[in-house]
Amino acid sequence: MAAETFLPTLTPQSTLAELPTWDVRLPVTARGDDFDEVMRRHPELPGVVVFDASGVRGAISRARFQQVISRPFGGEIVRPRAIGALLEEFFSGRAMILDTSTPVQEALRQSLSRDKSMLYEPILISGNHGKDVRLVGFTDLLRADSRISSLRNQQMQEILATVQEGFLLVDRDHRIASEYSRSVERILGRTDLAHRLLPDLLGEFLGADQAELAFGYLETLFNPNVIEKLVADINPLKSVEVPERDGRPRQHLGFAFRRSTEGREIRRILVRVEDRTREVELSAELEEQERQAGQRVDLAMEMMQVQPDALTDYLTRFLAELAQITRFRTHAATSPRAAVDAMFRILHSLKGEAGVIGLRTFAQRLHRTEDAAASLRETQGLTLQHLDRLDPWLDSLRNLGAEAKDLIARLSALATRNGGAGSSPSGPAEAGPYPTIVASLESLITDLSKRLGKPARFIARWDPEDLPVAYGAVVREALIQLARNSMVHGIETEPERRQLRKPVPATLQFALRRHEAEGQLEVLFQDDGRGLDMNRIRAKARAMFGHEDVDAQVIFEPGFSTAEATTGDAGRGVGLDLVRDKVEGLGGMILVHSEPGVFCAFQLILPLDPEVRS
Amino acid sequence: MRLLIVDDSLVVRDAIQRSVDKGTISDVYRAENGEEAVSIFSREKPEMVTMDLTLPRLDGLGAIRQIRSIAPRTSILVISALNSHKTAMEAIALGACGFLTKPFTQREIAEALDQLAVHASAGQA
Repeated sequence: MAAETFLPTLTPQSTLAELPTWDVRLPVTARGDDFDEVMRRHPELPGVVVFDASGVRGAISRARFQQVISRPFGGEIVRPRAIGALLEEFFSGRAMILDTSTPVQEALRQSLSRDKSMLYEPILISGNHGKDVRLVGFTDLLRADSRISSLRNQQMQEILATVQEGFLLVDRDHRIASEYSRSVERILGRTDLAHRLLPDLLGEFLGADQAELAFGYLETLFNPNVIEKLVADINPLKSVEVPERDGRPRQHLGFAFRRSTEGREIRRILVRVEDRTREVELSAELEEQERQAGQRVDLAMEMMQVQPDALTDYLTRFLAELAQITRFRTHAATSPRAAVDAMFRILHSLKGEAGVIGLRTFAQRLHRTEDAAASLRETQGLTLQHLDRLDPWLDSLRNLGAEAKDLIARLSALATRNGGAGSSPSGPAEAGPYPTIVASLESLITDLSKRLGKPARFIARWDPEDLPVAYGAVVREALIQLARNSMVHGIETEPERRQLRKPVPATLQFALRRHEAEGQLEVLFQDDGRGLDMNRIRAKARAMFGHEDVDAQVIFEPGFSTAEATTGDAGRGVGLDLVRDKVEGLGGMILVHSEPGVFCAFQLILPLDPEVRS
Repeated sequence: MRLLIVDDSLVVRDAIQRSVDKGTISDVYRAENGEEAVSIFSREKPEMVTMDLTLPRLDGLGAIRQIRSIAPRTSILVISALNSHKTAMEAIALGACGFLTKPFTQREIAEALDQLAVHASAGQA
């Protein structure tokens, strides 16, 4: 096989496994003649692997063999003899054996470090734990390396071409001055910008309306009555999307403007042009990932808050009814309308029940499916084809059911492991110890850990006997909220932790302590994540209260923690202010301690005898 | 230095007034529509005005035009939601010297009022 046929599939991460290999073998007892014959039959073969009973002994290359037989009497010496003996005598230096997982560039580096006489010899690669040994030609290795180098270069160029900024100056007439950054040409895909009118130039790819706005904004900036800082808000080019043009992909550009004055006169405007394409696309991608992870977290949270029996009952019914819907869908040919009516009724009743027991995700998805079914019911001349529109919704319900079933299985497995029925105190507030607080937390953390890609372990010093029944609900709610916050915001991702040289997995600890002498119960939760970012907290305080003279306790102020939530994790769980209200409602208090980059800890202090509280 | 606050929302008028630095601004007048703004302005001739754009009776652009015809050196800051860049720039062309977008934080409004005061004192000098 020719090298070119595999080269297009190479990437900068390619390993030896992706190179063409040869596995023609000869035993040590074969003669030089046999070798010559093999070479003649396979002109493309770089050499052969030589083996004996104990395994691979080495390799003989075509080039080396040719070299040896071209010496005086070379042929006479080599042809009749066993190649095993030749190996010792003429092909000294053991063949290099590399694992198939070795990156191409690393393999080349190693093969270049061989003895000079061996330099062009093929290398042996071994896969499958040394059982499978093959040859890779040195020229193939060289060719692959050169291809990878050019790929790397290309990628670097691409990065340079997408992440960049440049500057230009415009005068009172909005003309671009002759000195401007070359990168601006690359960003805009236009050359010879000098002396052109900036609004006209922008109009070529942003359209006439944007050109007019650019003109207006430049006029605004040249207007001496205007306070420069107080018009930054109305910059129409702060972030603009440039549609595809002249074979160039869509771009996101940002323009920032600054006056350049001489004395009191505004002479020119400095314009900073920035290509924000990658940034904008990455953040859109991240948002989408966050959103999806968030939806799964919602489901887990919801399920943990529903009465276990009700949850199991509902899910059983949900799956059975879904199977029923599938049957209606399959046999819809006879009467599509009757099938849609029947499906609609089932969806509607499932939705109602989901709402009643508090399964919001189920209720929402059923609601949308019901909407789709409702619009089909209103369709005139309904045919079987119309029903196709329902299929994506039904698929999504099936996935939801499967996911929920999986979660329930994990929840009950944990409940059994952590004491199970009867072993923990069950009062009216904790009716049925399933799942216990510890089990709920562990399953929440395990689940979030997997979904967010943040390995975390869980340590609980927790004797359920120590927790007064009356506190069960509040402590559960508080800890679930704190653990969720910690996993979503506090704990770093695995690569981040490795970079910071912090242990992986992260640790979340829960402890319950009775302080009999003080008459207090202490609930402790601590993680070893980022800790609180006081700069961000102060910035938020400034935005909310107009000053930043606050300490960490401010995170329990109404709206403070949920203000964070509106950016990425909207609508999940309750805010920290509600946690504090509930704890204080029991006559207790909640404190936060943190060291940036090291830990964040929450301490709930509750009166030991609930009857004593006022 | 005196300030006229023009906004049809009581909450916004209060929020702006709360951020007024009493050391620089001695008197604050308030108007809730464009006509009232022009009538208070002609009577009191304050050096500074904050102006909403969407107002009943006479809109913000109209009010700016009339105020500038009465006293061309008045420092006017538009405080409004940014519904259209074009309108914002029109307000500037008519004589406003800055634009603060709603919603704003207390810090933003306080800083903007400071800059407006500097602008106003330079204009009077």
